[in-house]
Amino acid sequence: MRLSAIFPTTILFLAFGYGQTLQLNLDKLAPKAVETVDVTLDGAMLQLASRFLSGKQPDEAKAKKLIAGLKGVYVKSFEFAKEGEYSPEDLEAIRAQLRAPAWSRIVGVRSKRQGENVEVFVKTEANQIAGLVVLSAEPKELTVVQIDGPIDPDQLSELGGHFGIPKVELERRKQPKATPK
Amino acid sequence: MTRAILIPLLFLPGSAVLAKDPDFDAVVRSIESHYHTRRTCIPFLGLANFIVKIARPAGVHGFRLAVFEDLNYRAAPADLRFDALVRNAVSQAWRPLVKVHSRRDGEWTHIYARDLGSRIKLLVATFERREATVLEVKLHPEELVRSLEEPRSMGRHFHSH
Repeated sequence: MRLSAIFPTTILFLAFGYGQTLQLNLDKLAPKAVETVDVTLDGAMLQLASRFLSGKQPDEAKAKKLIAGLKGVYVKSFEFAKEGEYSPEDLEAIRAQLRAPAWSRIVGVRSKRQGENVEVFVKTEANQIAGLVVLSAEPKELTVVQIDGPIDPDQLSELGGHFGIPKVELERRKQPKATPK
Repeated sequence: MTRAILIPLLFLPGSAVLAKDPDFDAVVRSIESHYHTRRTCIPFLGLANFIVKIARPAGVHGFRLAVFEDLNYRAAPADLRFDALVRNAVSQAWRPLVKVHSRRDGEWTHIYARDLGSRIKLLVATFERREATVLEVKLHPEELVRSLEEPRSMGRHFHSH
């Protein structure tokens, strides 16, 4: 294989491959929103927060343990003036960036809030969760949470309400009981 | 002795009390040059800063403040938005934390953080149509952690002040 072919392939692999932080493109939504909130907690900021979270307070101790291994938490929230300001195509464009094989949409997740649709996508590397994206779509608000680093989806509810992450109630889909033969 | 310290402080601008950070000045200079304006003089800001350093309200150890009024935004290059202006002025040492843009109200709020070990500095730049504010606060990180619980409110809180 020629060097000229190897080089772009390597660049593409590095850009989209394993161990890289996903940069979700949400540029089309910002001009439609009346308010945009962008929260960036990179590794350095998370370590700082971790240093000063109390290990004695139960809530803070949980959050401290949870963020210790994370590389970043990024929250982007769009508020719209009226319903229908963003289209299903806008949502699809986000989903399209969370494609297999690295990303998969986990099932058995539902929001209990009326009119709110929550989807959770996980990135797996070497059979371990290496990242997570929550897409929370309400009629007049759209929030995308990106967590970079190892996280158990069950712990996501513990992060809800902190760092700008909306409260997400997750329920695992119960496995059907095996019927005796 | 106390009087000897306090009296000169009354005449100091607030920015002189906190150890000078070049990025605060860079943002201020950038606003001044792009909007053809000068910061508004706030009387007794030095005294207020001195009191803050003693009383440490909400874990704040000191601040620098620059307020701009009647911005001539027609003088600013049309393609240069406030967020680009701030982003270009701050160095890599500052980590972007919160950015709020309200198209409805024409407001921008940028909050950057800088780790100083036992303390943290926040650089807050807000823009609202014809006014802008640049604030640098040195505070205890526990206060920041508390604020991070609700980063959206944090952005709005700074803007409302």
